[in-house]
Amino acid sequence: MHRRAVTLTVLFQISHSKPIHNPERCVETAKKFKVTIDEDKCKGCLICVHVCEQRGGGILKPSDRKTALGGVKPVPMGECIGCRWCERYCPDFAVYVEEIQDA
Amino acid sequence: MLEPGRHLALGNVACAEGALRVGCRFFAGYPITPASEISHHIAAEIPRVGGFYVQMEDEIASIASVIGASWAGAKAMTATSGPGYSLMQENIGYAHMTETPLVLVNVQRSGPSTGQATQPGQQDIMQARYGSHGDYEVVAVSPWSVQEMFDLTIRAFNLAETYRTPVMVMADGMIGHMKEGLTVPEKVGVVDRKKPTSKEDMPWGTDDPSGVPPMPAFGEGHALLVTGSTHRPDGVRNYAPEYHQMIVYRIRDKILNAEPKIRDIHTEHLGDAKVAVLSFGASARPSIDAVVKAREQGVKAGLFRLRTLWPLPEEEIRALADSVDAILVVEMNAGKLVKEVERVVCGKAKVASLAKVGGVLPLGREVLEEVRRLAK
Amino acid sequence: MKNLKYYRDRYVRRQPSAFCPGCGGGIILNCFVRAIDDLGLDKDKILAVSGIGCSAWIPSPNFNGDTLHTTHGRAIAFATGARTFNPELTTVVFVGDGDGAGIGGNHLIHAARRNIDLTVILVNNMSYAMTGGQIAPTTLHGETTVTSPYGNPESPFDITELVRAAGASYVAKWSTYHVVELTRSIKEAITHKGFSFIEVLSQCPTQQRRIFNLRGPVDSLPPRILDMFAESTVVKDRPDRGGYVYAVPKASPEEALKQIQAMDGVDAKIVDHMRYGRVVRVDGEPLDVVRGKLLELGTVSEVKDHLDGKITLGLFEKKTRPEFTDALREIMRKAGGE
Repeated sequence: MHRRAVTLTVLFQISHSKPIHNPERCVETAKKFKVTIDEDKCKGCLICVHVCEQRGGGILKPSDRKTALGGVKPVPMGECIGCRWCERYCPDFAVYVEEIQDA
Repeated sequence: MLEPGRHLALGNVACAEGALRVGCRFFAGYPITPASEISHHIAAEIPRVGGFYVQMEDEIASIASVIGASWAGAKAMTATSGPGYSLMQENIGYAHMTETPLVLVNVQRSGPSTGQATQPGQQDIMQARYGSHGDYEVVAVSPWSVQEMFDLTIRAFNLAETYRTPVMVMADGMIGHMKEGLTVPEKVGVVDRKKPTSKEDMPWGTDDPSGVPPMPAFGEGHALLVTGSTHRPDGVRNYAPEYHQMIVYRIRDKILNAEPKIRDIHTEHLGDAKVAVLSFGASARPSIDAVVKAREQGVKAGLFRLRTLWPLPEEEIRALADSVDAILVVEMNAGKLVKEVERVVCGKAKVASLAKVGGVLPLGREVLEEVRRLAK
Repeated sequence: MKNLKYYRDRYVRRQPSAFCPGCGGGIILNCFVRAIDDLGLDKDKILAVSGIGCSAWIPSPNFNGDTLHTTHGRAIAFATGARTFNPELTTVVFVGDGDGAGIGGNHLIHAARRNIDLTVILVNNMSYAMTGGQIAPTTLHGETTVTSPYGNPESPFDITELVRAAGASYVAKWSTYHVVELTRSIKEAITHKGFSFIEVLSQCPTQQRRIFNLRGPVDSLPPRILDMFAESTVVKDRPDRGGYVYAVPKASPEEALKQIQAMDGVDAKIVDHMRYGRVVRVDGEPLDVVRGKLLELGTVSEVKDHLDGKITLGLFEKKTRPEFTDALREIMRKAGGE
């Protein structure tokens, strides 16, 4: 079976004019990040949502959509701070954080 | 290691020598009577030729590490007796399913269970064929002398490499523990496993009529998926009936179709024989004795000795049944090979059984008595 | 910076994996590939060996390198053969708790005794998960499983203690919650010359629901179990802040929480504790006053100290001992066969 990966990408404008350091991870948030859920691989375990809430920017939220594998699909609902905790915990290699170049 | 030439050697030592000479460089074993001397000799000699002797914690670990070493590229071997052989069966099945070449020497004792640890038997011959769960075919050789402990162990390795399969050396406690003349040649013929020519070669599937795929080793960049689960030719697990059939039939056919090449039969006085004595291993020694005496007494007897036990040379046995009136199957168990012979002969000749348990060889005169009775 | 897609493309095959949603096995694979990438190892020289069970699927077929998926309990023995014969193979063995400490127990302790240069990662989800959640040598006493419907009559191994006593020269224990520590430990274990052993407490949403009596929506289980691991473990040699206790409720944790939240000067929330079930974690000072007040509440049956019943994680052993394959090579030199 061949499916094209359906990716959901959301871009947000930076609202700060100077870098703000995240005390937890010392990440310069002047960089822009985008987080993508690969719904071909995501099983909807929602671990990423939980760790994003606990330690990250709290932007990944469960949606009412399903992934291709039938689980609850997490969706970024805000500006990813690039902490990459979701990436460290994902059991299915289904979430990717990318640094976005300034437009 | 023994120099080329003539020696007086112990059967178990001859077996170890044959293994070393044909390229065995990994041996894992566990002490067990009457096989331990193979371990001792290998422990002393294999490091000299750059090989590894590992004494594992039990027989299960022994056969497991032999399989692991084989996939790392080694010609690998273990040696045991009945109780250890029984323990090894699960992993023997694994070796069949993954098509792992290896040699396993079973210096048979008299069983079941602990039995007569120091007495010979031939009771494991069906276990050699059907010991592990599932369907597969095995190659098993049966030495009857110290010389054959040497020669047939070498053959076992070469067969293992040719057919990518475990090969059993079905020795016994008498042959293992006796001393006889051994001629060590200058050189021995060595067969190496077929290696893949590209990374795309399937390790568990082939269009080659031999049915034997090439075998990569770990560390060569093939990203191998070695598994005991039913799998596709590329190693990916797949339980579909088609894949199971593909594997089981191919691993069966690669042995059975090659039977004419694997067969190894020793015959004496069979030309005009009316009674054939069919035997193997130690039992064949009093059998040949009886055949010779019978001939002296005017009885037309002949010896049909299996040096390769499995695959059974059914064609040859059927041909034998055509030319003789009776076949006497002589074996040291409660009557196992005779049932196979009966099946194959299918009534074309009379089949009789001299099945001896007790940890002792049938006596020459016992065999002779039966031969004379059948000749009437 | 390498993102997860990089690791996936380079090290993973056969997706989606067969793991249940939220399986700890997937997290361990995640940590493993990061570790080998960080070490800059040649992927072609890595051999991943496994037995039978869910943990066996971590490398096979998910790892895009040489894998050897063997028979139940025997992975370490297979690995011994391969690693002995080819010293260039960086050999990592993934075993389960039943697979590695039950049927495979003998091979585990002997490999430790030999101090053979292998890394063994024992994935401990505290039951035989793949076959339906039967008791294992690692199941806590009293837990309910499919073969202990009246509570487990047995008690578990202290596996790290066992392996240390057997002679392992690197012994650590982490959980799938502690991903950073686990990744670092895997790197240390692989680099360490000798028998390296890491026990990893791992979540199994499918079976641990019953075992730890985790009621609630199934969807919530994976993160919940991770939090339970965080709550129920303590890392040795780390400064301990303390300052809280656990109130074990008589009946409903929600009722107990309501009563406790009415108290002054405390922060309370319901947490899952591996040994005590659903309890209320109460942060407040001074502790003995808090404890006293809690015991007076009608909804609280007992109060546990913050370290009570916790599982200790961390590094338990790191030493140098003669290594097995080195010893074999020394023998070869002695015998003149090199």
